[in-house]
Amino acid sequence: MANFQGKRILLVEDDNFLSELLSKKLIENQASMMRAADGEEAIKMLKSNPKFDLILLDLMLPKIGGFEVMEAINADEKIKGTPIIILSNLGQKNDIEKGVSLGAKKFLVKAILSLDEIVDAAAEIIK
Amino acid sequence: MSFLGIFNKKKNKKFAATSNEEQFKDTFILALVHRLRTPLNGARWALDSVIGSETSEDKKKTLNEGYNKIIDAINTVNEILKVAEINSIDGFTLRKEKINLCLVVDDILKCLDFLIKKNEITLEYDNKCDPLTIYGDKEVLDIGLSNIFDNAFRYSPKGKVIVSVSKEGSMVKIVIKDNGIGIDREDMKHIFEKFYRGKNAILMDPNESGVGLFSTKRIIEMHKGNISLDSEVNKGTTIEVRLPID
Repeated sequence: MANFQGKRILLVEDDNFLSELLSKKLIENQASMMRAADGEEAIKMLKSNPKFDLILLDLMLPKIGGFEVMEAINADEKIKGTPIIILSNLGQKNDIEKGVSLGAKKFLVKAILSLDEIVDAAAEIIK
Repeated sequence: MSFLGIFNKKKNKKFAATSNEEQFKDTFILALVHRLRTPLNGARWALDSVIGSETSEDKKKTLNEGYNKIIDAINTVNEILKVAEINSIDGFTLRKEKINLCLVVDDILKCLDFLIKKNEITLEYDNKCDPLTIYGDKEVLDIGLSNIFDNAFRYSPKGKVIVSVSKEGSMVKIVIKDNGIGIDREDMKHIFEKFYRGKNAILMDPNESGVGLFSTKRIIEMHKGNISLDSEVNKGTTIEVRLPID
């Protein structure tokens, strides 16, 4: 079991059900969670809160897409460098390449992973 | 995000200046698959959460069965997505590197060990083959070759599969020979077509997608190789793949 005690994670996911399930799992692992349901809300949260230890970011989001969120993060010195794991049900090579080129630490396809596997992947990034 | 939302995003990005029907169809499949993954994802994680919690053994067993069905569906969706990707002219570029085909075959056999055991297959394979290096995309070749091995093991229950990897002139030759259900003459003409399945294969397992050998052929050809197949009903199938040595 991972221990995210004292770690702040932002989960950006427009599917409320998926967001709740994953968030609950991360809280079970002592993470301090915030959730955004679209790209616009995510950027607002990132700019108005202390720096997060990790962002779990979906790509197909309402209002502003995941890649655009990453561009906004890279353009803002205060939040630039926040570790990002892309968590999407996309996963074509060009999506992965773009995500990595924008600075994602990992690109995970949600549907092929269990909740525990996602928690493990997050633990690898925020040791 | 809705299916149409995803479809339009992908369509506009890729095919702004074209109305090519094949590309349109593949983009449609890509968007559909992405959309299907989300509810399957939800069902998987929901069961994941319940199975992990305290519940009776009886219920756990039922939930596990449901979970495995969802994993099956996710795998089928992934397979269809991979074919659409490979078939999509703009969307797929090979990431080539030097790879030892013997190690690729070793890895595939390890991954399919569950199927070998489940179907009680006798496997003959000399894994001490000399390094045979080709220049290719390991991940993509893995998918293409896995389909052949998967078919051999799936359609030869309690049978025998003989695998060899050797050098033949300027090519590496991989031969996969099984003594399974085989393919009839008429089906053989169409076996590399997208979504085509042999009649006896459908009877044995109606749930497969029929995209495997189509994508395999395409992958082999993308690597400037070739694939040939010979088969007889109830006697078995032999597939030969040739890929150019680096």
